[in-house]
Amino acid sequence: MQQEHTTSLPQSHSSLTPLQHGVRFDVRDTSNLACCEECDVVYQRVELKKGDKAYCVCCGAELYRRGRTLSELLPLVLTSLIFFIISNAFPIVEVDLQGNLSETTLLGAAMAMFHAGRAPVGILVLLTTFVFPLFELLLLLYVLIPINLFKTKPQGMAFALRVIRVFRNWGMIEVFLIGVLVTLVKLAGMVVVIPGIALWSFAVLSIFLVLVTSVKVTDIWDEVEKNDYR
Amino acid sequence: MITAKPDLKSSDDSSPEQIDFERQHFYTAKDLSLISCHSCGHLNALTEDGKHCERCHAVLHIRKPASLDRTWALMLAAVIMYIPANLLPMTRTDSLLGSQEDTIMSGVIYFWQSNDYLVASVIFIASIFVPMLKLMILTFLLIAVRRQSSNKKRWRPEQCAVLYRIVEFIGRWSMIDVFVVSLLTALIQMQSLATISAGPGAVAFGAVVVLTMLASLSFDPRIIWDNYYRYATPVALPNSTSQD
Ligand SMILES: [Zn+2]
Repeated sequence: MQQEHTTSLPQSHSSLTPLQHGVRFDVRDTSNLACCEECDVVYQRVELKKGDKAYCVCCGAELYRRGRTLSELLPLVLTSLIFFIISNAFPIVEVDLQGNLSETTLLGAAMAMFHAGRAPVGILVLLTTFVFPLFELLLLLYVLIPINLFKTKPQGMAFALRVIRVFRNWGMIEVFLIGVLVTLVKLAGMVVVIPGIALWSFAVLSIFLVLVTSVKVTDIWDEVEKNDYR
Repeated sequence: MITAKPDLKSSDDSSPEQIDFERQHFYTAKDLSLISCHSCGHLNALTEDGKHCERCHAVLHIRKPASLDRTWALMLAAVIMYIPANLLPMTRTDSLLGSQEDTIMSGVIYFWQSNDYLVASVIFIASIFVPMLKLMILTFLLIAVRRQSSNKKRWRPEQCAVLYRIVEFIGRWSMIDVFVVSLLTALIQMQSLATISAGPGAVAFGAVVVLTMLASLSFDPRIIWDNYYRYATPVALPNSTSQD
């Protein structure tokens, strides 16, 4: 029975062991400890090799990882921001029904819901695909630029990182991309569909956002603490 | 399922390996009088709920406050909204051929009948199957946690943890149809030829997505483990050096 439990758990990349009986630790300096977000089990941190992840032996959740450093994250955020601007400045798709042309941007699609009297849906689209992703990227820049260029923590970094964590749950660019693709297939039989620049830009943006969000907010905190930025 | 209740008095001398449990109970932050910050992951010395993290100043909670009550409330609200989301029309199409109102299911049936199996499947999975799966898993987790806390039934906690991770992962994907409806509304506005507008079902559907996401965010997976070990906790703790 016990064997079954332990073998079904994901293999840990590192030799991470939970805190054992008899191990001494100092509650005033817990920076060498890590805690599982999902089951609360406490571990002693071990140094990981680049690209490795540490998993919880109890529940299998990811504990922390040694992924991209903050100096590698900054260019990814800047690139994402450029593609975010392109994605919103150009039409996603153009349709042609017997010579009647019609095109829309992301903001146009959100606005259409306001005109159609479905404001709650318009707000939802606006927040999840425009406001939250944009503010996450801007806040990341606000945090990363001072850290990378001047080795200092920006004022209000704690607040900014907390907001980023909340926004991350609600940003849905990649879901929107699939939504656009479904719309294209839906319309294909009815009208002539011409994909716009923003569609390709959204695809690239989705990939970059995956890379950006692979660095968790807790990873940013850990690295800031490790390097002891003022 | 517990074979032996721990003897709390003698447990100081016994190492965790000797305690006869079905699973080994590792030390949690709570056992060690630590609180992990939900925002930055920093382990703070135990204070009462409502104090702030010393690293990022977020409010600390040992467990998410009123987690189960909030999750129940949000989930039931989502169940109620799931009904109009499926019964009310998502889109209304006006064209030269007349006007037509489509619910999610009638849209799926339409695409299936016109041999567009891929679109039909995507809409069915994202808009009907995923929200229903989310609601069913959340209900199961809430019941599992309740029964574990009263020691009536002990589902394997690691399987509950996997279910929770599934809910977290699929949460956002049911927004697909809301995006599709808003794109259609924006694109098909060719006055005399055809217009598509969003129906009241779109609002209800958006509400289902938001409510289920809030429900899974307010669920604290650590409660699964707390309740599982409630009747089987070894208390031999590592030594804290704070008193030195
Ligand atoms: Zn864990």
